[in-house]
Amino acid sequence: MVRTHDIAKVFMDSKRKEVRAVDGVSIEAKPGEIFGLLGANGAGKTTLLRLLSTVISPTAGSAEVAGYDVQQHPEKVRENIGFLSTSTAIYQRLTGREFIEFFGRLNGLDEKKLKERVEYVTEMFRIHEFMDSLCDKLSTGQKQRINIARTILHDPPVLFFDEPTAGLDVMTSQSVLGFIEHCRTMGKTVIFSTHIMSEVERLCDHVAVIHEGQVRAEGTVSDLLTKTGEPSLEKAFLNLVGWTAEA
Amino acid sequence: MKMTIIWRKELRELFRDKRVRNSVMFMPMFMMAFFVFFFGFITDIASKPSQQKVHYVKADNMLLTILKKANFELHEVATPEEGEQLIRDGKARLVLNFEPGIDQKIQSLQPVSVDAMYNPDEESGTVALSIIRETFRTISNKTLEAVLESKGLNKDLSHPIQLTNKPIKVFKGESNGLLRSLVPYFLVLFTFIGGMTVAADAIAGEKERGTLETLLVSPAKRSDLAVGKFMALCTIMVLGATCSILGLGIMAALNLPVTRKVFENGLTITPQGVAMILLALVPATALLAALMLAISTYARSIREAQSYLGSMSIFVTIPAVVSQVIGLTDIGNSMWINWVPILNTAATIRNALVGKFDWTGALITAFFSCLLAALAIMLAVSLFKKEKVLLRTS
Repeated sequence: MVRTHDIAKVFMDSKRKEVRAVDGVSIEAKPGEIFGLLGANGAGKTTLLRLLSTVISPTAGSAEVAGYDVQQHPEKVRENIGFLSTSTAIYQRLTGREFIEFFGRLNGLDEKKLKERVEYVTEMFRIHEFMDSLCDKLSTGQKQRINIARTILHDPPVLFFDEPTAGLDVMTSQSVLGFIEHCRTMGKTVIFSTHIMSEVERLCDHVAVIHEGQVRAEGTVSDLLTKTGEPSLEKAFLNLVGWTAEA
Repeated sequence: MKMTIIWRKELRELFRDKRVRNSVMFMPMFMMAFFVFFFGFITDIASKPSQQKVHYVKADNMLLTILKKANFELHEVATPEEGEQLIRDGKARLVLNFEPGIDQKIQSLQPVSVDAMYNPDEESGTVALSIIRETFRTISNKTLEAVLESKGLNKDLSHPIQLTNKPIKVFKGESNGLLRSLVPYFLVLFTFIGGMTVAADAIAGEKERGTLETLLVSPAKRSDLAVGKFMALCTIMVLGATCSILGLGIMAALNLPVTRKVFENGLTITPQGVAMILLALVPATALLAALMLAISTYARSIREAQSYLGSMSIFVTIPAVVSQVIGLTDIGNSMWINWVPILNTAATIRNALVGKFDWTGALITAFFSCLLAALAIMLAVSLFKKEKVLLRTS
């Protein structure tokens, strides 16, 4: 379970002017559900996920992840999450196995459990072939598979995916999306941030449209279509963020 | 312990990097070996008559015969003007112009004169001149002693004032003066260089490559991440210093003719001396590592970190250079030196090599370095907890 209550994050820009990257967001994502954060670049999706994963602290409001408050128990929150984004890169001078094992140990897995889990993710993501190669030598798709294996290794109940298909080819994107769908069947709470409408339509049980740090609308994809009276999610999105061609 | 997991991972990654292996292990070893060889070579040249090239204006006398016997490399020129021109052209270091009839004058016990032409701005000329002067002084003394004896006088009157050297060994060390000044300087320098190579990459590099966020979403505490990286940095720095000592050891073991003078008394380092060096060097390493980590944490990119570290190097190299010449003055014995970071470390190492076991000074040095290191680690950890700093990317 992930729950936020009026959570906000204010940054100062280079001219000491306030930027409200996240502005009073309240959402709730349940286990076995993929919760989509749909927004344009700079809408506040990444900041919200960074708040939820305790990389940064909220300026106001609160959030709870897997039953732990993000400010009171940040380490406990991080023990219970898996986080994958384009900015979570992998270590080039470690092999895939070393990289995965390193994060397994940081997540407190003992050696026996670690071995079991490494075998499990190796099987699950079909990474045997390049598991012992230096990450530096791997293709983008192989790196992403290793990174996903890292995300799921400690079997966290909550998973955050921040535009996980950005920069990937079609095949790798499909396998990433397939994995996210699989997370739902495993009963995980998934928060999935994207600006790609087709991904939302395919994956999300619940969507929050974020614009300028605020939730403009929330519900299922069909709820959003009904609310806006638009025929497609794309148009519904543009309607909700107040975008017009002239603008 | 999460910090040891991070420490192990950092070391594994670092040792896979060829640049790190070169700059932390091979470079200090090679540089130390090279400098010992180089200084040994220069010392060897400067002290041997056979290495001194001396020109003389055409003559034939007993002084020239003595110089030939002493193995000076002698070259004849036709006139004083030619000799002067050779000096101006940089082709001669020293030109001797003997006055005519020297042999007869010496036999009739009259003073003789020899003009020595050299360029005062060229050290090679002054070195050759000092060796010639010493040779002529010996001849003069012997001549005077012979005259005194022939007149039935005490030959010791050739030295009416006898200044006898009576060294009193206060400290136990026997090491060569060159090693005493070279080793503290290089130990401090290679400790710093080893860290500098990897510090920029430690956090600024992770920011640049996007791996820092992967670490930040792990359950490790920020303090564990900072301390783990600090430990890795310290390990690398100690390794750099150790490799430089290894380079010195290899040169001592090779026992090359040119370096024999440098190692003639060895380093004569005792277990007590080793303990004293470690007491000074380890806290200084921690201090430098923590400062470099703080810089790397603050910097947006590797390039920015490298530019800050470059500025920091001034505060390390200046005290290290000062430590080389500190023995020439009374400053070396002043208590305040123990309160100057890096200079106190180099001075303590020097004391350990001399065999001067000033434990009060060494303990002050260690205490002060530890105190500063603790403050620097706190600074690095606090920076690591600041999201504004951690997410500061270019």
